[in-house]
Amino acid sequence: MSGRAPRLPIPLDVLLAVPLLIIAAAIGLVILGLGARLTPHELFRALSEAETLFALRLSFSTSLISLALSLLLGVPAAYLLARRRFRGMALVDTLLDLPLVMPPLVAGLGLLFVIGRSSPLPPLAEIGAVFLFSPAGMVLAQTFIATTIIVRSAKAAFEAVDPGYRDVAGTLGLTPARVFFAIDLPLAAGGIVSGAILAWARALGEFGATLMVAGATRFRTETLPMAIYLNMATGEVEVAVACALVLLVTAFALLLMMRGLKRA
Amino acid sequence: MAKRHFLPGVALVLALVLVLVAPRAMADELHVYAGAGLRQPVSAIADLFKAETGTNVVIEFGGSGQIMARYAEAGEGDVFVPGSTFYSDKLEAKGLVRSMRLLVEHGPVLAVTKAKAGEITTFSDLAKPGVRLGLGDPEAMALGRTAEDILKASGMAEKILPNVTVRAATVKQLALYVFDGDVDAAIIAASDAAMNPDKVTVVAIPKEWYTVEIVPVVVLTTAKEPDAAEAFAEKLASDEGRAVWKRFGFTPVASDGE
Repeated sequence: MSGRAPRLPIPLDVLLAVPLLIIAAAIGLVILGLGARLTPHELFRALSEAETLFALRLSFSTSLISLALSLLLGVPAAYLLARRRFRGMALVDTLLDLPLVMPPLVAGLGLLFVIGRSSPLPPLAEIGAVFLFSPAGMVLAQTFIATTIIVRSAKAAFEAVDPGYRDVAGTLGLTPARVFFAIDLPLAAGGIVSGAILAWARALGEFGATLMVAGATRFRTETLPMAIYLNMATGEVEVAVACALVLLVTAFALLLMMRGLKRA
Repeated sequence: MAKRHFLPGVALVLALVLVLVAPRAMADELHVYAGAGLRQPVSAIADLFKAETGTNVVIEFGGSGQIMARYAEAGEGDVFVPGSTFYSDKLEAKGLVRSMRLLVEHGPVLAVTKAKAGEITTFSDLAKPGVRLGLGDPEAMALGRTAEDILKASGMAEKILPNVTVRAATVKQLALYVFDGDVDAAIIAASDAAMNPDKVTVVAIPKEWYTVEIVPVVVLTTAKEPDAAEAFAEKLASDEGRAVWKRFGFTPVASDGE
């Protein structure tokens, strides 16, 4: 209120720092709350439980397979969307964004209905028998969620590549395929990799879609988020918190990695 | 000038705080935890209760074990309606029970999808190779525990367990799987099967293999409005309440002819 323009800088910074502090403190407290729940001894014991180790292995293996699949699907699709214009493109583009805002539980319910026995497309139910209630179903659910993120980030990355390079390459007689591999892909790589890291983190934490498609079967479809859910349900807070901490630490490492890549 | 710009902002924030806080402050509201499988009757009776008393009833549904864990962490709430006395016993042991009333049976049945009704006609058919069976997670939900008892008592657990295709976290999720034919059979609530005779065929489970779970209503010692909480519990157990339970396929305890 004493703030005349020349004197503003310091009070303004202080003013702006308050919300920043609140946000940082809130996140810090959430992590502290989880971390302080267990003594190091309890944490170690919970981490070495067979159930935790199983969830850890399944989470990492399924999420990495899902990541590979979503890159395989997402990058070419993104390239097409970034490079070509076609009728109904706005519609397709918006459709592809939908899973980003769709609650995963809804995505899972939809997947279950499409590949379940009462599927509106009976042949899909035949294929569905492989996916339903199995780790393959978890990969399906995670890929569904992760692919959207890849498409989004890869498309932005391809669009950021100066079309001049491509035009020059074209006039020099490079085939479209060579242009893609020699110019667009390397130049967009940074953006694609950071999208992949985000997508991987999402696949690791995926819960809602997996719950519906694969069920909550201990030691079969039990990923880290599923282990948190099931163990909270049984009051085994130690295992739940240990799994939560593993997820948080992994996510933190992934985000740090992304920053490092951006700087490079 | 600066002052003038500030005032509307401050007023807005204050108004927002008031809007957020006020309903709680003057709340005549009950917080109820209830098993996911009991959703329809508990919601219907809560609506009746609200219409009569004006007391708003906020109900949190989930697997019985799950709402139990939620309550243990939150430490707040007025009424608890789990799918089994197993959970109210746990509350009792912690001294959290102010009063308890027994409501209805939460009995299990073996529900078989119409497509497989010809192949699965007795419980022992579950041991046939290739049968896709759905069960509840024994810790997360009341009927999951019952199913575990049934398997043990049947003496066929070793043969049947490999056919367990999926475990569900709530009895409603499990019912969805069997209604849609995603599993061939599942041990679900008698009430859910009774409400969907067009989707599943019921195969009897020998009564001596399990003790039927009883749904209790517990008024918690943490109740902020004990009188309203007691009144709601009474409503659930009243004749009017019983009629609602029956409408959704549950058997009230006292009217049980056994």
